Amino acid sequence: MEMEKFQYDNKIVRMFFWATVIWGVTAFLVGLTIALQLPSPWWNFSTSWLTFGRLRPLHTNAAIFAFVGNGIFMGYYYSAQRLLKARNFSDVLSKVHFWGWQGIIVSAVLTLPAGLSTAKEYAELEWPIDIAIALIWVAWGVNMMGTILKRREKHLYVAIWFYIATFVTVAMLHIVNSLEMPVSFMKSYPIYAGVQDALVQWWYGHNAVAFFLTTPYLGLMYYFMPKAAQRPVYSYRLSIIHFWALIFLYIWAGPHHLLYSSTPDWAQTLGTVFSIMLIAPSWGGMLNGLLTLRGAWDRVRQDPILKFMVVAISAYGMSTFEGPMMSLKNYNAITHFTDYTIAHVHVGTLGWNGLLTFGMLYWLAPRLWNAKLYSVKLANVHFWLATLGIIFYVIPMYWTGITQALIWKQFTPEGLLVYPNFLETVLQLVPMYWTRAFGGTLYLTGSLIMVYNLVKTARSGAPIPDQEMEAAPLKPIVAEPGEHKHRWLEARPMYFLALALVAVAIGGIVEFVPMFVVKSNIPTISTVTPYSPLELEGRDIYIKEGCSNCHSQMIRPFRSETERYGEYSKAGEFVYDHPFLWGSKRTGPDLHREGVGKLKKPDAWHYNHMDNPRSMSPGSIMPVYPWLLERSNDYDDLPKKISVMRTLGVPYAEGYEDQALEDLKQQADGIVANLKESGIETSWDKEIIALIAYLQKLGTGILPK
Amino acid sequence: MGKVTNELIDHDYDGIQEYDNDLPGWWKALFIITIVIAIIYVPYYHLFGDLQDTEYQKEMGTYVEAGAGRGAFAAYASPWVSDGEITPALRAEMDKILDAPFDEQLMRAMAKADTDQLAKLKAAFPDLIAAYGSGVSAAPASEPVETKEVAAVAPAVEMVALTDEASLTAGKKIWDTQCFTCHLNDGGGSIGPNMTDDYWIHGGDMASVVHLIKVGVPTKGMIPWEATLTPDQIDQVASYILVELVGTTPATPKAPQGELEKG
Repeated sequence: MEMEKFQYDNKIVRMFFWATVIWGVTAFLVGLTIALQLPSPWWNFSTSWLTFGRLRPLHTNAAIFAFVGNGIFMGYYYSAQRLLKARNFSDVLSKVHFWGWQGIIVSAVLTLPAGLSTAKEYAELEWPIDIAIALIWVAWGVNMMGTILKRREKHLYVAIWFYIATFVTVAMLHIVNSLEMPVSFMKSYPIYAGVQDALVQWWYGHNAVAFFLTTPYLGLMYYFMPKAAQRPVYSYRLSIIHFWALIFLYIWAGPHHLLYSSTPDWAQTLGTVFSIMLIAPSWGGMLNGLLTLRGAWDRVRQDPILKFMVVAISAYGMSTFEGPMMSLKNYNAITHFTDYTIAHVHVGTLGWNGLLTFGMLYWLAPRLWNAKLYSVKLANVHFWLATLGIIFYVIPMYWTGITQALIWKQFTPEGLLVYPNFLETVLQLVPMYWTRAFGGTLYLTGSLIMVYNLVKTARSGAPIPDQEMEAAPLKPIVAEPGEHKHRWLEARPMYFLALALVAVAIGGIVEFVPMFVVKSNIPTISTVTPYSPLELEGRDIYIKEGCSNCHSQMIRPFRSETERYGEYSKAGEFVYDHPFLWGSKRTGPDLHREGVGKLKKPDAWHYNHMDNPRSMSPGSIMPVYPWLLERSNDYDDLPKKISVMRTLGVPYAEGYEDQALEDLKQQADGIVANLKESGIETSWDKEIIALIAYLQKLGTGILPK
Repeated sequence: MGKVTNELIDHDYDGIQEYDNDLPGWWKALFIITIVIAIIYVPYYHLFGDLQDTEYQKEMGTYVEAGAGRGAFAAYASPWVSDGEITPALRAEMDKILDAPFDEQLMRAMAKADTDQLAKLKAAFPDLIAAYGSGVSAAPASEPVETKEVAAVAPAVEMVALTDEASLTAGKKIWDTQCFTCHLNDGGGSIGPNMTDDYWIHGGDMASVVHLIKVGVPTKGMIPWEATLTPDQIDQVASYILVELVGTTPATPKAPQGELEKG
């Protein structure tokens, strides 16, 4: 057999290597900044660009798509070429992929702090960037499938299975969840509303965790773990079972983010039961990782790379057990909307993704620059700083979550809430917020030490050129007698791709079709009306300022909630909400009944409160929003917004575009007059007026007209 | 553990080899158990158990039976859980009940209750029923509720402001942490009216002030405080207003509103 000569592209790996390092530090830095803003809002320097509501999406996007994203691609470009014995399909596509991805990240850095956001978690980027993401993602997919097709290795290794599943599923999730109708260059409304939007969003959001933070990293683990440990993978059969079970089951579990909400019970139940069934498939990955270390545990003591990997896999095991527990209704009743969720996701991201990435970086650096790691000691210091950082981060957050949930639900013997004022429950948590910020500081410090160590390593060597390789070309694929079915499939990548797509599509289809087709899932409420033009504009300000990062709009059906906020939220109240704004965390109180009942406040209260929350609620940790009082809105987009909303199914009359501004002005004048009674002089076109109108509308849908 | 043979499969990928070990037995057992739990879970909630609306109604229902405070009406008035469309008429009916202060809610619910429910309510709220008369008898649910009659029932007891120092100090503390945001620390008024003059929109005697704090004026932005403050605390802060604040001169007094009442 004649051997073919080819080269591995190492340059693209180095490019993603540095991108991972740089964006990692950036994500940690932004995370630390917003962590400091919780106990002390002054850390935003009273700048609109740096408020928590705008920076939090930047932090999550940077951590997920910039840090972990580049980590995926770094590990993929290194491992896939070697596992397939082929150079990347196209160097041009590799470069387009790299620069396109960095361009998307830079556009996120520019637009999110500017308040250009869709308000959908981990999908906040606006429609032009969404299109760019889809294109670049597909560029990677084409490059990958191209490489696989020209491979010189007959069968696909388990890491490649995970890469394929990642590519096809993220493409599906991103495209379906991002269907939106543009209003202007950087503004759009999602085609879904209310409960349906919530279901699609959390199908996406949950599986962003599954197929961006989990499956690609399992693929990476299957390459770098046996490489670093120099041990065979524990069980090939376990790989097969847990791979297919994982990707099939994961996709169904999204509604566990919506337990005890206005989502129909059947969807909530699906979310719960599929989460429970996920424990074993998730742990399959952990087992194959940890059991691969059999016979190499003595080396774990000396080798910081293995230490990083072992703790990473353990963190993966913990958070994939905890997730199903949080999907049980009784436990979710306590943990949801609290910092418990924040602790849970950080075990996953800081532990599993962070530490595995650090392990890969330390393993790759000497191999990419042909040098010894500059300092093993510093790598050990980094390991301990990172591990302690996680502990100092998550323990206070678990504590905080449970504490707050319990005091939210505490009643006096007379049947009154012990802490009726939400703020009291927040002030209990401030010391824990400082402890968490300390944990974050340790983690960031560790990563800076790593940067130093990696730069020194790279400088002490020289970039290795593209490796010369030799391998026999692939013979035509023919079925072998007695061949196991999966073995057969591993030699047929396009079938593999199609089967993976089928496996991940089923869950979504089964959940979406009834939700969109069967009317009784969202009982109508005849008194619920579309937003007035001013309220609609106010809602867009609410979205722009990222209010839903701290305030939920979903009163759960518990006495402790209806007693605090008023009647619990009904599915029919959200039918005009493009997008839904239920939120996932209550750093501040729920706002769904802000305009009705005992929570309704005068216009002037909101005016003063936005100028400085502490003037109305002493001790409040909410940021100041003085710019809302200053900024004028020209409402040029209003007719377009009305017509887009009508296209999406909101019943504004034909031709209402022409009248909308007049109606807006009239409503605004009313609020201006109200404010004047309290001695506040302002004008109708200020942003604050629209925001007040929106806040006063909240929850009024169930009132008789 | 399943069979651990540690036999290598005869292939390798970039030097990585794989064992042909069986799946660990406990892992298989775990997977099967979780599937069984999932299968049991569905009928457990959907056939035999309570879904969330029912669960909520029960939580509130238990509350009524326990005879504790307010907000007890979801059990008798939850139109949202019905299957059909909610008509404006039905909505309006429900809102009359839900928006009213608790005493009124109770009276209306009693008027609508059937015999069973009425017995429960009477057992649960003996004090209130004694205070407002027990003349209400079971009525068919469709019968319109006489709202005026209920609203006319105002506390008939003569109330006097507390003057002891402990009560006034407690009242001041409540004022300085809760009320000042709208009425200012010195009572001069900003969002809310001036509390130092002798003009009153809703009456300036102790009973009226206490009642107003309790039920609020939600349309004007005055919060109903009965969910936040205990009856004693409401008495304390009302006394602080009438004894300490009225008659003082604030820094920036808001113009008088309401009727002059010289006590």
